[in-house]
Amino acid sequence: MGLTVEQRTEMVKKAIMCQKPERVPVVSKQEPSYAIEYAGYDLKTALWNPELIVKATDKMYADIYCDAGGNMPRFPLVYKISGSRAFVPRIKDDFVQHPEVEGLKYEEYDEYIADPFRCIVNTVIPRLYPKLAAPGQEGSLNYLRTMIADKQVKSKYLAGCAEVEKKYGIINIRRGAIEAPFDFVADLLRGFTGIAVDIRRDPGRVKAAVEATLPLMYKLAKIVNPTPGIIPSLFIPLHMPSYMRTSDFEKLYWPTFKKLVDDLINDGYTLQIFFEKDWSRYYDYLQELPTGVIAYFEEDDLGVVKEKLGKKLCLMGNFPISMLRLNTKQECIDKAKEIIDKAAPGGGYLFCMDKSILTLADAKPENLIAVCEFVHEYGVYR
Amino acid sequence: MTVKSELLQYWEEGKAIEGYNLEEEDIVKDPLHQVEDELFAFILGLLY
Repeated sequence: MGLTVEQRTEMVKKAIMCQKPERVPVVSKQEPSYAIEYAGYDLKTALWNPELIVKATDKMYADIYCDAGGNMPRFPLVYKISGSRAFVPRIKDDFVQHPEVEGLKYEEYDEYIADPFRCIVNTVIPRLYPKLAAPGQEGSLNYLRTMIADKQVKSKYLAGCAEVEKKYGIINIRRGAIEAPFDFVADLLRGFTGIAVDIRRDPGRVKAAVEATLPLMYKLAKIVNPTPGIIPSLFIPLHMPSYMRTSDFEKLYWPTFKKLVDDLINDGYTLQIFFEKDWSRYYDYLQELPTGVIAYFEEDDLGVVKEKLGKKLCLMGNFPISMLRLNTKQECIDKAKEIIDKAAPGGGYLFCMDKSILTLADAKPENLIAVCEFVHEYGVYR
Repeated sequence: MTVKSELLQYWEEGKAIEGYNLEEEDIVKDPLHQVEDELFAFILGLLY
């Protein structure tokens, strides 16, 4: 049975605010690349043609049940035009990948701390996007080309998806993404290897750089999602904590992340935060987070998380997509039931996979369809 | 929490952006700031 947009909006809002809706909402985590393959289109052709991705999404939503979705693919056009070394379309199909890079050298920390945006423009971008720093007018023109490309593909994609979502009554619960300040410094500025060394040899500079990044992420949030409300949420994927020592997390990661979350929630936002890998070491910290956070877990047992955090945070995630690839339909349904029975009681829960589904090889469609339909039928609050 | 950078041209209290007059603040400030905001978000968007 299909629900109306109004019904879905109401139940998702209630779940996010830790109340009990009529049903457990089903959140789609199929990426556009999955939709493209599912619809039978060539991946490279579609990644260069947002309208084709929209057609593929239409086909996917027609066949695979969900109440809510929302994503933004990386378009190869943007990264080819800009000559990106940070996000690189792979040769065989232009699916964009991100290799380990070092946009900021250790000796440039002080330059970054003094004026992060100036340092990004003058030092980091030329290193990671050399075409944007081409001599003479060419660099300026490449900036313009990149910005135009970005606007063109995203506006076509978003407008098309909005039409498709309207057709199926599916609500978009995500708008815009930012990073935790530490992850911003770690991911493309210092790189995984660089930050791991810096944490030990110069934690003071790491802390100062992370603190200098906090206002940038706060400002970015306001721009990429200019209208605070319960939906759509801002997306924040968290990368480094599962690789950090708890003592380093406490000193270098948590303070700025917590302030960012608190300030944005106080401003009226909700945040879909992806807790990548295993967060069981950090539950005592997460208990300090406010209601308005959609806590999207990958590996954590939602039964344990429900007990520790379920009163304040809306829970989401944890259905292993590996089962959709490897197990039988009935085994997948049994797993979905097990997770719902643990996480859904009392509300404050959105059914979702443990991570994004990128390709057909990640998830057999018949299993995915069976699980989503089962959750829709079974996940009724009585 | 505000972002200050010598590269971002935001109107400061009592000080007009170069090329504009304080008297026209009510008219020009918001459109100019929106351009700076988009520029800021676009460039940061290349890094995550």
